[in-house]
Amino acid sequence: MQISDQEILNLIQNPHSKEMGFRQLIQVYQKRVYHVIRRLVIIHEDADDLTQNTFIKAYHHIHKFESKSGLFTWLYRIATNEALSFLEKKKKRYLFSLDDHQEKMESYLDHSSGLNGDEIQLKLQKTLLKLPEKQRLVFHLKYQEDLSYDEISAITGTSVGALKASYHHAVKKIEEIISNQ
Amino acid sequence: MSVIPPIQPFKEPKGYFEDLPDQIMARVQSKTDYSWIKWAAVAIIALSVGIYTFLPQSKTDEYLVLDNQVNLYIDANYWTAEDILSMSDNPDELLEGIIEEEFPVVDELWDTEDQNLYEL
Repeated sequence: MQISDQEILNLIQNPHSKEMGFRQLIQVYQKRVYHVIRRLVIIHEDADDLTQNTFIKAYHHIHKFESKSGLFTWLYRIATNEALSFLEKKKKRYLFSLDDHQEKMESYLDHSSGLNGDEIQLKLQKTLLKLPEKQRLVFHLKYQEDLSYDEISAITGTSVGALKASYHHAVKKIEEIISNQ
Repeated sequence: MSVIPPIQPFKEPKGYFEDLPDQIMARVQSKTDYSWIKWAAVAIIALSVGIYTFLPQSKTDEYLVLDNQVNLYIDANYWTAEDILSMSDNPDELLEGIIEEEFPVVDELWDTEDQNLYEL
């Protein structure tokens, strides 16, 4: 049976069991954190760095967690912030024509064995890459993870109304591109 | 009904999640307190600036002329940003510095007084 958030927090708050508690936190949430980051940054090595950074920051800031939301929402907030900051930094480098990260991600998809040569999945992933990062995030959280708009709002700090509009727009765009191919 | 097919998750390398907790804990435990180094660095920089400011300048006329020429080329748009970066020994380092200066990265959210990111 999976350990609860409260049990994890109790372990972490006790200095003698902090490490054990934090390991439990990683065990419970590592896959979800990794995948939400990976969907945004595409490349495994980048996702790995950012996942580790997420948990390291969580370790150092767990004392600020106020239990108003669940650990999942809190971790996702850190993870998505890490991923979006990373992509924003890469985009700014491109302004100086030094590094087209968008092209790098598309090339990674082309050569990725993870898609098992599935042409439809490849086209879908490339279509998703055409969306602005934050819209892509909202799409993934709603479409793939089936989170409620309230949960997404807590993670992104965006209003429910704006999220609904963003998601609806993303779906229309994707459907349009897929239909035209 | 949406025409968007189900999206397959990316596959991670074999054994990745078995090793990840150990890697993270190793990094967490190896972080020591480097705040004294920060203060030492600040002191060294302050001392260097002080020495540079108050000691007599030894720049030759030749370098002064060169500086003026470089500025003329930049002001006249004869050299672009890419030209300047390509002429430098460490374009990546130079670029990182410019980006940090002109576009402060959101990274700083996590170690400032930002109430929103960690207080949920």
